[in-house]
Amino acid sequence: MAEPVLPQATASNSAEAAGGTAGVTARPVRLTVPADKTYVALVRSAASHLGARLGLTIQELTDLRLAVDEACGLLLLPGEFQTTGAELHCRFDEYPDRLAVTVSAEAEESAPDVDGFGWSVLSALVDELRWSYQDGWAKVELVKRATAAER
Amino acid sequence: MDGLQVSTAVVDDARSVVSLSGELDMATADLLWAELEPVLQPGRTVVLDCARLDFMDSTGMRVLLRASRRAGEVGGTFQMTAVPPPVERVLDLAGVTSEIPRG
Repeated sequence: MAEPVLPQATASNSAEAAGGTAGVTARPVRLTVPADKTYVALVRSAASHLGARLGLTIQELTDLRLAVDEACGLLLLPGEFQTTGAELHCRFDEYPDRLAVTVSAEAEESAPDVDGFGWSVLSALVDELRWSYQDGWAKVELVKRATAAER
Repeated sequence: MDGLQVSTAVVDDARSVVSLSGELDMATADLLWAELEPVLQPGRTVVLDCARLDFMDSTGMRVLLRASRRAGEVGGTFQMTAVPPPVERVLDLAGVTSEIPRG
């Protein structure tokens, strides 16, 4: 009974997949650095390059660079996540209209100081922000949208 | 990774200019405090020249607030000058723009 419907639905899905690639990330960029404050400059540089590729404005690039720095700080600074791992894992997902950044490290069960300067500055810089702790990993995820790309 | 370059010039008995170049972040904030602390003296004005400062994060900003507080405690003055937009942005977001006078 449902047979006539199925091919149609399949065709429709295929058309969407071919035509609307928004939301699909082609190739995530992963960067692993020592969990050491001196390497955060490298993470900032990577974020700047990817943000420029996305067409972020100067102001948005400034904010992205600062946001990524502060996200790393939530994993590396005292009074934030209690990181125990030797590595900081960064993942950048490029979408047509935004850049999603995830920074994570192995850590003791802990949480960032959401009343501190770091978190409050960070939350003002990005469009989405969340932290999580699961299975021994502390994680900060943020999304920066390109306003120019939306127009 | 360029880091931060700090150079201190003693103008006269009452005035020092500390010039920054590069990036003031969680890796370089301690270096700046080590340079600032000895010059924050009674009756002395310390001017932080930020013209060539490309980046500052909240950890770097905390050093500036600490310097401002210390200057107030000892009867000195701490000022910032030539603050570029990315540095201004952090002060603004943290709501502390008015806490550090401009020279």
